[in-house]
Amino acid sequence: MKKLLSLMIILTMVFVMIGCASNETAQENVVENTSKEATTEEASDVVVEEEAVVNIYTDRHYDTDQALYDAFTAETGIAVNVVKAKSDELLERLKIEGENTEADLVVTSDVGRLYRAQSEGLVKPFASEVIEANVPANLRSTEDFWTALTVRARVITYVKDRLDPSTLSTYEALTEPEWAGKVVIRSSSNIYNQSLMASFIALNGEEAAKEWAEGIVANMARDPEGNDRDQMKAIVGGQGEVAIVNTYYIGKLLNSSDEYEVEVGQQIGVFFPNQDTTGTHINISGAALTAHGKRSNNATLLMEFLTGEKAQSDYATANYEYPVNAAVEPSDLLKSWGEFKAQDIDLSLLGQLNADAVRVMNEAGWE
Amino acid sequence: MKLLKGHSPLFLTSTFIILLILLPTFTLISELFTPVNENWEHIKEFLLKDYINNSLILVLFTGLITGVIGTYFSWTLSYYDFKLNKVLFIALFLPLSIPPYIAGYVYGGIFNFGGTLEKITRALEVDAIRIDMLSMPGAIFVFSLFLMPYVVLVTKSFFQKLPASYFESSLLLGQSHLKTFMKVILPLSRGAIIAGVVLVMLEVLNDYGLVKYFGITTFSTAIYKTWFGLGDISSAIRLAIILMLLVTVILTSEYYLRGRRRVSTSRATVRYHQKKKPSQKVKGVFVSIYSIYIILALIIPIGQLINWAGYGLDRVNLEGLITTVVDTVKMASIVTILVIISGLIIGNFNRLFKTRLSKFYSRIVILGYSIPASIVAVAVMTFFISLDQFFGPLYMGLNLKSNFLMGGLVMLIFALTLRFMAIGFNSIEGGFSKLGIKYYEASRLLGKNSIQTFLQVDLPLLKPAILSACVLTFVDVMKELPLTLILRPFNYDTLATKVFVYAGDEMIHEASTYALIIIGISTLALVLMQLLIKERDHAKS
Repeated sequence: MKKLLSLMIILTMVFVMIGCASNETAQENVVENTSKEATTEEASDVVVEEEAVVNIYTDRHYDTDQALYDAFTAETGIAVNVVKAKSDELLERLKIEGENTEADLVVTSDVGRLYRAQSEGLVKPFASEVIEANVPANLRSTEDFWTALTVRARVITYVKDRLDPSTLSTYEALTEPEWAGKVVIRSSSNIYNQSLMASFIALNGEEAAKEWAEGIVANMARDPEGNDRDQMKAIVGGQGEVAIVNTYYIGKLLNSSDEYEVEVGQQIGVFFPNQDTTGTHINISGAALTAHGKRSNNATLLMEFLTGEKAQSDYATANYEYPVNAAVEPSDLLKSWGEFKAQDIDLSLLGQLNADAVRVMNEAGWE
Repeated sequence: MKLLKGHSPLFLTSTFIILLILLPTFTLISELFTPVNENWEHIKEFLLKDYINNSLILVLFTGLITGVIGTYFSWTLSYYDFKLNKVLFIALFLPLSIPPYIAGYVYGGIFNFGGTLEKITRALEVDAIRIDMLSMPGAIFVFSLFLMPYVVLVTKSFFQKLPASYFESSLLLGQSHLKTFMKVILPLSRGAIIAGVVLVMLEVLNDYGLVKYFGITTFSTAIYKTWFGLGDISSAIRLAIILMLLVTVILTSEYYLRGRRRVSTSRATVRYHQKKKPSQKVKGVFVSIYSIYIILALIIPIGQLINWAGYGLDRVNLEGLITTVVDTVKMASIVTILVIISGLIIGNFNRLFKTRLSKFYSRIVILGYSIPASIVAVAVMTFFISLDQFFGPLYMGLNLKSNFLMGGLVMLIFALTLRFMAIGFNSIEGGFSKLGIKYYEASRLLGKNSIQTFLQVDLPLLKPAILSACVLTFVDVMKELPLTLILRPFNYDTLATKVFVYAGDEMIHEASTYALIIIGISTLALVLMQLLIKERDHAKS
C-alpha cells in the first residue's frame, strides 16, 4: 500500500512538472522566437548552403515524384528532403509540431486534406505569379492557400464487349432499380468515395446525396472490398456490370507487367457521367506552404517547378493523371477517352463537407 | 523476502520505465475529460455496434484457431523427436515475418478475378474455383496463418522446460499420451498458451491495413473513420481508450486465469524431458498438418511474392537499398535491446517483490500494444514536443536545434520501444515466472550480491526466453509500419515503409521485392537465434 502511495506522489509530481513546463513554454516561445529570428538572419548571410533546402511532407508515393524532385535539385541546387506518409497523420504531425516544424511544403493526394490543413491554420497562402499563370483559378484555393498539381476524374467503367455505354448517363442513374446487383465500388473508408459524396452534397444537398448513397448500397453487386484495380477486375470477371474508379488506375492496369491486368485494362471502357448535368467528379493532388515553414521561398520555387510544363508533362505521361497546366496536353491514353465536363464547384467544398459525407455514408449503411 | 528493501535501484529504474510508458498515455486520457461532441452520438448509433461485433468475431476465432494449432505444433515438436526439430521450428516462425496486410494482398491476389488461381485453372482447362477471400472467413484465415507463430514462440520455451517427471508420472500411472496432454500438460501450460493468444488478439484488434483492404469494418475502422473522415481526433482517442480498457479487462482476466498456478522448476535435480520417438500414426498426422500449414503460410505467399516481384522488377526503385537495409536492421536492433533491458528490469522487479505495485507495473507494460499505433504516434509526438520545449533553454546553451529530440530518431526509437515492450516482456515474464526465486535466494545466501546473481545465475537460465523475446521484437520492428511511417525524420526509410509506399498505392508488384527482403532478414535472425541456443546446449554437455 505504501508503494502505491509513493507511486501516486511521483505521478502527481510529474503532472505538475509537465503542467509548469507547458505554461512556461508558451512564454518562452515568444522570447525564443524573437531571438531566433535575429540569429537566423545573421546566420543566413554566413551559411548559404544550409538554406538551399526544402523539406516536404507528402502523401504522393510515386517514384516519378522523386525523379521530379531530383530534377528540381539539379536545376536549382536546392536539396529536397522528404517524409512520405498518409496525409491525415502528416497533418496531425504538422499540427503537433506547430512552430517547431521543419516541413516547408505539404503535398496530399486529396483536396479535402488540403482544405483541412487550411482550416486548421497549418498552411499559408503562396504569392507567385508563376503558379497563378500555370494553374487555372478553379484548381487553386480562392486565397491561394493551395494549388493543384494533378487532376483525377472518378468515372464509371464498364466492360466494352458486354455493356452499351449509351445505357449509362449519370451517377444518379446507377441508383435506379435496373442496376440492382450490378454496381461495384470500394468502401466508404476510401477518401475518393468520401470526396465524391461531398461533391453530391455540395451540388444536390444532403437529402439527395443520402438517397444516392442508399440507392448505391441497394444496388451493390457485393459488399465493398478491395481497391480500385480490384473493382475493375470484378466486372471483367463477371461480378457486377459497372465500377466507379479513378482514371489513373485504368492507365496503371494497361501498363502493368501482369498480362492479366493489361487484359482487364483493355476490356474496360471509360464513361464520363453527368455530361449533360452537373459534370464528372474530379479530385486533385495538390501542394501548400506550411504555416511555420522556414524556407517558404524555396518551397514556392518547388511549387512553381512542379506546376511548370516539364514536370506537368511528366505527371501526365508517367502517372496517367490530368495535368493542371493548360499548356500541357494529357497523355495519349487520356486523350483517347475524350474531353469531359468536370463538376463546377469550389474544390474547397469537398473538404468542408467531408465529415458530412462520412456521416451520410455511415447512415446509408455503406461499409 | 526481507532481503530486499522497498526503494532499491530496481524499484527506481522500474518506476522510471513505467513512467516513460505512462506519460504519453496521460495525454490521451486527458482527452477523456473534454466534453462529448455531436459526433459521438453519430458514432454510437452508426459505427459502434456492428463494428464491435465484427471485431469480436475476428478476435475470438483467430484466437481460438491460433491457440489450438499453435499449441499442437509447439507441443508435438517439444515432445517428440522428428530428427529435424530445430529446422521444423524455424520454418514455423517464418510466417511471422510476413505482415498480415501483405499476406492479405497475397491471398486477395490469388483468389481475385484473374488471380493466380484462375490463371492456373485456366492453364489446366478445369472449371474455375471461386472463393471470396476478401471476407470475414478470409480475414480469419489470413490472420490465423500469419499470427499463429506468436503462440508457438511463447509456448515453446515453456514446453521445453517442463520437468520430465510430470508426464512420466502420468504415463506410469497408466494414462495415454493424449490423456496426459489433456489432463496434465494443458492445465499446466494454460498461462503460456493464453499469453501467446493474447498477443495474437492484440495484433488483430490493432490491424487496419488488412481489414481495410478486405472491406471489413472493425473497431479500428471506427477509430480511423472518426479521426480521418469526421476529422474528430478527440472522439477517435475516446474510442481508442475504450479499446484500451477492453484490452485491459482481457489482460486482467488472463492474469487471473493464469492464477497462482505457477510451475517453477527450481530444484537442483530437475531433469528435462528426453524427446520420444513418434509412432507412425503421430508422425503421419503431424507431417500432414505441418506440411499444409507451411504450404499455406510460407510457400504459397513467398511464391506469389516472387512471382509479383518478377513483374515489378523493371519498375521498382532499388536505389539506396543497402542504406535502407542497414537502417532497418540498426533500428530493429536498438529497439530490441531497449525492450529486452526494460523487460528484464521490470520482470525481475515483479519476480522479486511480488507486490500489488509490481504486478501493476507488469500490466502497464502491455498498454503500448493495446492502443492503435497512429494514436500512440500522436501521444508520443505530443510528449516529445513538450520535452523539447522543456529542454529548450538547455538546447540553446548547447547550440542544438530547438527540435533536437523530435527531429531525430530518438522519438521513433522511443515509440517503437513503448509499442513492442509487450511483445518482449511477455516472453521474459514467462521465463522469470518459471525460474521462480529459489535460485536467486540460494545465490544470495551463498554470498553473491544481487547484480552478480542476476548476471551469473538468472541471465544464463533466462537465455532461451530472452532469445525468443529478441527474435519476436526484432521481427516485429522490422515489419512495423504506422509508427515508423509517421515518426521518421526526413529521408529516413525502412524496408517496411518502402513496402507501404508501393503497396499503399496499389503497386503490389513493386512492393513485393522489399517484402521478400524483410522475410529474408527475418529468416537470418531466426537461424541465428537457433544457433545461439544450440551453442549453449553444447556448452552444457
